[in-house]
Amino acid sequence: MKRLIITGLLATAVLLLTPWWGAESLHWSVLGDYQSQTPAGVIFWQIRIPRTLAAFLAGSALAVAGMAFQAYFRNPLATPYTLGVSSGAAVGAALAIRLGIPALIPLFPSTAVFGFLGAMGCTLLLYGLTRMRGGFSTPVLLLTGVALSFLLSSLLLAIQYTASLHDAYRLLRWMMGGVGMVGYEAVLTMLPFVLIGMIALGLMSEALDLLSVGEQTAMTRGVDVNRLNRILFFIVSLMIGGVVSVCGPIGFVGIMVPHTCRLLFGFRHRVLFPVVALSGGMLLTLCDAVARTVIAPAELPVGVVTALIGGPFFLFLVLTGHASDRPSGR
Amino acid sequence: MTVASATTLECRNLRVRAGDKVILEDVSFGIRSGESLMVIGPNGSGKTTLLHALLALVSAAAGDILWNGRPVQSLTRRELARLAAFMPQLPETPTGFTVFEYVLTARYARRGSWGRYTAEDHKKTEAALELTAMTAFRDRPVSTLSGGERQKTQLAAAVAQETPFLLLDEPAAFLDYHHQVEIMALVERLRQERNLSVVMVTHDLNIPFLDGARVLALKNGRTLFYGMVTDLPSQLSMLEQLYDTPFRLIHTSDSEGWFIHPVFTGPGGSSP
Repeated sequence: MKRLIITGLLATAVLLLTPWWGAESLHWSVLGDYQSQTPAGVIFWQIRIPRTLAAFLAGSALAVAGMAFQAYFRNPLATPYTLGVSSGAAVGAALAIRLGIPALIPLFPSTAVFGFLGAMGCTLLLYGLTRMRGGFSTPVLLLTGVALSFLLSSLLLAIQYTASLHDAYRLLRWMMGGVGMVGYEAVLTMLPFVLIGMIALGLMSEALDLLSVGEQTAMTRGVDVNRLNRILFFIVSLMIGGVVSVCGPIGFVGIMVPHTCRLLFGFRHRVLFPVVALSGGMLLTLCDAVARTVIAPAELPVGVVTALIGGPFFLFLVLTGHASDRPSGR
Repeated sequence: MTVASATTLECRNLRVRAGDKVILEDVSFGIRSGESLMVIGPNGSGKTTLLHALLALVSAAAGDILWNGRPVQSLTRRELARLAAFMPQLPETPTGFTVFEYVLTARYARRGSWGRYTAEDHKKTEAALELTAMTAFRDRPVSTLSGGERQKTQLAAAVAQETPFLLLDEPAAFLDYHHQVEIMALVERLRQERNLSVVMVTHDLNIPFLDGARVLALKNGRTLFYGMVTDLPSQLSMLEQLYDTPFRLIHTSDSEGWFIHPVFTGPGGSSP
């Protein structure tokens, strides 16, 4: 409980401080400028605040989705990003941009809906392929994920290549991952996807504990594993689709945050879930602050920053043996 | 903590297939709460599959499995988890969980509203650790335990699950004599104190308790013998057929007890 409060306070501090970082230094008096059209007021209220919120929301969702996949596949390397689910969402969203599909459902942009469909399709394919030979093994799972990622990346390239110059640049910038969009629309687009996912996963904490032990144990202790799998896949696809359609595929948040939190806070998802959500939000918000200040006035895509930290972390997991199916098993 | 109403487990003409291969054929038995069943037979005779079928981990191709008269396929996972706890031969290793956290997950089917584990769940978990003498290991990660300690953790979890039936798949396999005796004594104590029904797959023909237990001998998925454990001394030829190994009966000095022992035949001649 104490650690949860500390994490909460840290997250609040990050949310309150990062909007002040950026190419333009701001005086605290902009706090009163939320309705005025002064440059400083617009920068703070229309750019920095929504951007910070978007980064936090996306980071939370990516971390929590990573946690759920790690529990389900019982492997810290198995996250939506590494298994190609994010790429699936990206292909869906890119298709929606490329084909100029209008919003089919009110309030939900077609990129988000197609992002969700792409993520869901990819998840189901992954499930089907790894189950085909009866019970998945970790190498088969990861290799399938890598193969899917490659396949979907080339699909993305093809979509981009055939796009007009303007669309192509937009797609490229979006594919690098970023939260540098202006205004609150991006936040509002992601919010329902992330909120539904968070609530549902939060209610599944105890079942996730059992699932992370093993399917047989989960079943004999009362978890309807087949039903849980379906819900889990649906929720993760929803969250990934929502986030990726807005921010592009941002990698490694889903690996680093849950794994580090497990080492610090233990394995019970009831405890883990809020800490992972808060830490994921913090990490992406901080990464975005770095991305927009390090080469100011220009900025890096946040996906580049997370990949720069995440790549070595991934290697660390592989080299220290944390990535094995059962780290200290028989 | 006795179970209020009598519960029954019935298996009628069970057939289980894996692809074209028949794993179990026409297997039947029935026990009520308090009664126990030993399942014996050579490796690959379908014993583990039988336990899996009772728990709906594999589905039957024909026949019925009835818990309290209700077909197993009509029970929810939660209902089934309140009837039977399972201790597999090779349990899945929980990564990272401490002994307490792991045993607590056995309360899943009985936890409170909102899906949280209540104070009662914590109390029952502590009691299960106490009973299995695992309290000292409470905060140790399960993955750091020895084989015997892990098996006791599994048993603690089965206790915490609070079910009238306990399904055990060779609970003492791979254990040293001390832990074998300890596990078996615990199982017997549970059976007596809580009036539990134990369904146990075993290779040990001389388990000195399980009073009034039935025995089901499986060979190639078919029932070779179904009767009482006390009938076994008169079934030496059946056992020889079952294991393709001759057995002999050894009476203990108090004339009450007996041992069934395989006859060692090999290059060196007959039994030692």
